[in-house]
Amino acid sequence: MCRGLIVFFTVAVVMVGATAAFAVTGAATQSVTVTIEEVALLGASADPGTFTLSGADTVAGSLPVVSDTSTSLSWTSNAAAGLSRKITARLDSDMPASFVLKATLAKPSGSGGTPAPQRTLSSTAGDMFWDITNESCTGATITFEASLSAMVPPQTVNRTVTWTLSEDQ
Amino acid sequence: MKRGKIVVLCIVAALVLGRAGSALAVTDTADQSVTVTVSEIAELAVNGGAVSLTIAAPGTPGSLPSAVTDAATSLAWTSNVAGAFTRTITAALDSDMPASVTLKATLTKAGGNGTAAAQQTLSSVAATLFTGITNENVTGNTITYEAAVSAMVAPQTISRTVTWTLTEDS
Repeated sequence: MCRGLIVFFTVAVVMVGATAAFAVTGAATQSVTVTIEEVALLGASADPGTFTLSGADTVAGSLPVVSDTSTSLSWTSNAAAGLSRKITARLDSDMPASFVLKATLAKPSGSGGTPAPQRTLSSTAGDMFWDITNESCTGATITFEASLSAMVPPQTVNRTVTWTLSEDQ
Repeated sequence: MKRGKIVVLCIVAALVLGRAGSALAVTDTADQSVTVTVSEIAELAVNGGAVSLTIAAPGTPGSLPSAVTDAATSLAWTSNVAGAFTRTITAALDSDMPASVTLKATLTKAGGNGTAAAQQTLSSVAATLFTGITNENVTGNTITYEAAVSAMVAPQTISRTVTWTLTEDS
């Protein structure tokens, strides 16, 4: 009888002790997931001013050329490991005969990419900047150059240049 | 069974939406409007500088000194015109040559659409040396000057300024 009581109390004490031991420490776990989505944002600062090919830019016997560096591109981009993006430029339609519109894109601060040499713009997209990986850049100066390859009558030509930031194939 | 179907549909929709979102995110574009205006251009220049013509003694007594020529200079021009218009190049002296002394000029066509005129005697009244210029840029149109005397004159040096003008035909 006595032995039974002792065993009972011993078990009770152990159990109480154990409960007390569990109570002094709290633990909880949460799973936290941060997802960085693929980002490809591209913006142009403004439209360039009108390119006016006039006598003021022309040496007698030669053809007029004017350029504009008043606008720039900005981009925010990331890419999965081993992938990169590029920026292309194209016109909504080809320039008329004897008109030439060229562009270059300067490498902005903070970019790990590579600018392409000056390109003649057309309705077919041309690569202007390569090897864009994980970066956010502003102020990539666009240098447009408008010229004639032969003299044409006085006229005005409008085109839309579409810049595209996309993944390299 | 119904609940299972709904769950499957939800998963499929989530996958489709997820892919669509991803595809939209990986490419972006920016548009710029570009306007190129070609103004009317009429640029004319002389290449080669000043010209000096020396009329020397004739080889035969009793005859007049031979005419002398110079073809060391040229004209260059860049021109465009609206519609069916054309341009002309004229030459004029700041004042007439003295009596018995003539200065003539021709312009050789080096390219373009125009037509060179025959040799013209220069005076203070503009003479037409080239016609039919439209949309063109040309260099190396040789100017040939010819100085002569029509009667003997006293030794002297005469300086004149020749003004070349590229202008629209009337």
